[in-house]
Amino acid sequence: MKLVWRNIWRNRRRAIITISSVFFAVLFCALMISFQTGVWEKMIDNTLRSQTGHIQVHAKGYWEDKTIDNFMFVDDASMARLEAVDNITNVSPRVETFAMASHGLSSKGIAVIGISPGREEQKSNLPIKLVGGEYLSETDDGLLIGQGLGKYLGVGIGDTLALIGQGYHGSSAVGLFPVRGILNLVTAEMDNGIAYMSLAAAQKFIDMPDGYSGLLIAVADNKRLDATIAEVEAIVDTEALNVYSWHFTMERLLQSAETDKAFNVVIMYIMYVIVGFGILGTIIMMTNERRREFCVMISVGMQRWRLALIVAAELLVMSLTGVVAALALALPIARWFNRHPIEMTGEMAEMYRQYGMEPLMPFSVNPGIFAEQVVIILVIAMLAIIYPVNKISKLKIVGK
Amino acid sequence: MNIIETKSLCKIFRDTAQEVYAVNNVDLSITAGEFTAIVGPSGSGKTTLLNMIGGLDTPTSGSIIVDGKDISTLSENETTAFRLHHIGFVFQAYNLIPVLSAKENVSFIMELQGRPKAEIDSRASELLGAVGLADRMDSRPAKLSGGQQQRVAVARALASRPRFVLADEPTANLDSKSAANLLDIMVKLNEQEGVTFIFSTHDPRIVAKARRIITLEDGGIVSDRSV
Repeated sequence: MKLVWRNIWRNRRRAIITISSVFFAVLFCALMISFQTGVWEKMIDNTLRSQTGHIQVHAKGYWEDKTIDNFMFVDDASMARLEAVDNITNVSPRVETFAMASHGLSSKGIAVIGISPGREEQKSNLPIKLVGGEYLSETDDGLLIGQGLGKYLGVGIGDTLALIGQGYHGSSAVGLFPVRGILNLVTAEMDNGIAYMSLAAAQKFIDMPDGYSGLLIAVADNKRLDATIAEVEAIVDTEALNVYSWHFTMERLLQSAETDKAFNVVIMYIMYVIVGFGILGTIIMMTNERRREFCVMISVGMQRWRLALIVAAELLVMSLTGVVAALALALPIARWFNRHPIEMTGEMAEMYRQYGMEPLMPFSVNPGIFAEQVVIILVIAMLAIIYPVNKISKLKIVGK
Repeated sequence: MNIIETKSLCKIFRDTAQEVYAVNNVDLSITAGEFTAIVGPSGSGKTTLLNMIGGLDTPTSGSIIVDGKDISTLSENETTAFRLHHIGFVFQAYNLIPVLSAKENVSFIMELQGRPKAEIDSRASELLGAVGLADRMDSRPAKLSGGQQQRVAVARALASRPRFVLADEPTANLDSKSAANLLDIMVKLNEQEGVTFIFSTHDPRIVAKARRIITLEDGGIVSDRSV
């Protein structure tokens, strides 16, 4: 190691440039990927907690064909047992269907969502979106509608909306519902096309008492998701119901995250290719300017493999010095911004709050992000090592 | 007792037009304790012969028996290990490892041999003392004169306790005072400790001190005389 260390520093400037290039590349890439991953992790976590849940339970066939005839039943005892599971923070039963909403001469196709107002308040903080009127009670027979829908149909608080849709087993679903509150639902699609009602009212509307489109379950610790899914499966009737992980139900969101990350991954690899050529340049110079020295070392009795090992160790030590220094700086920075995330301000922050999400952009401290940088640098170093190893193996010691 | 014996040794360099006999049918025996100079004009084959005896080059034909072993039949790794344990080298251009101190350069060979640290330390100090560099042990080669570097090279060559030392033009890069000094040290090592030295040289001072002079011309031995 003495020889390795001294050889590295025999050209101090070159060693510093090589180590620095690795240092800055790893620092930049680690923080860039940590930030992007952190933002996505937070967005996914927000979405799961406030909207879709980490786990969903549906009747078999519902996911493929989302009709009322594929709705599920679940008894109160099972609901209570689900809510008692250690890692589960919220169980929100839902009735999701479609109906024609009419008022006067205006009508519009909308999504009707039956919720447990109490559980929904805990999950998505729906009342915060109220811009007029009042929130629903558990036995309420009224509606909460988006303000866009209200404007379109010309209805306000206290007006009555007629809903016509399909009920269970082909029956007609028809009802008159007073508007209890107006919501600001952030996106135009939701604001113009959603009406919330209590579960009891929704089940009565579709003529399916105790029927649900599904259960949305939020968990406290996503790392224990698989174990929690197993516990859920032990509670519900898996003959009739399927339990889905968010990795399945949120596949598109995950794909969006991967697509978004792909761009930064490309930048990361471009940066590492540049660093790789820098390392290769260093090793080519280190090898060629020491050819005579290598010949002498072999002449006096050093085995070629041992010499190659020394040169490989020099490159590894230089690369790892850069990596370790970069991670020593990147990890505390990422950890700091993980605990003290960047807070969004202005309209973007308000939009996040309206969604029931925290307007925060944390860095991720997922060890895989940092391990990946180490692995990439090690792979680059290993590839660069091929050059001196090849040269040393073919070195002609006569004529030194 | 012969420690080196070559039989019908040939080295032919071929290019597209012709074959050049760098060493031509050399039969040679060297016994332990010799102080032998191989002389001859440039291109006569001195260095090629020395390289083959040292296992740095392979003969086109013939054999080289060192300590009863035909080194021309050894594999690359075996030859390297053989050199490490049996042969010391002194090069014209010193060829010390620049990042190591004088003592570390001498110790390096013994570390390759896997000797105990205490032995390495004491022998390196002893050898550097023997070549008059006890006070420059911690100096790197760049801080030493050419003569001092070559004396470190001699100490390094002896560090492995070799059966013989091959010295290729060891005084060629030295001024006359340094050359004389180095030569005195090698003569002393030969006379007092029985170290076998084989030189290729043009230097008349080495020739004058040599007890056996082998003259090469066109790759063949034209004279071999003891003085």
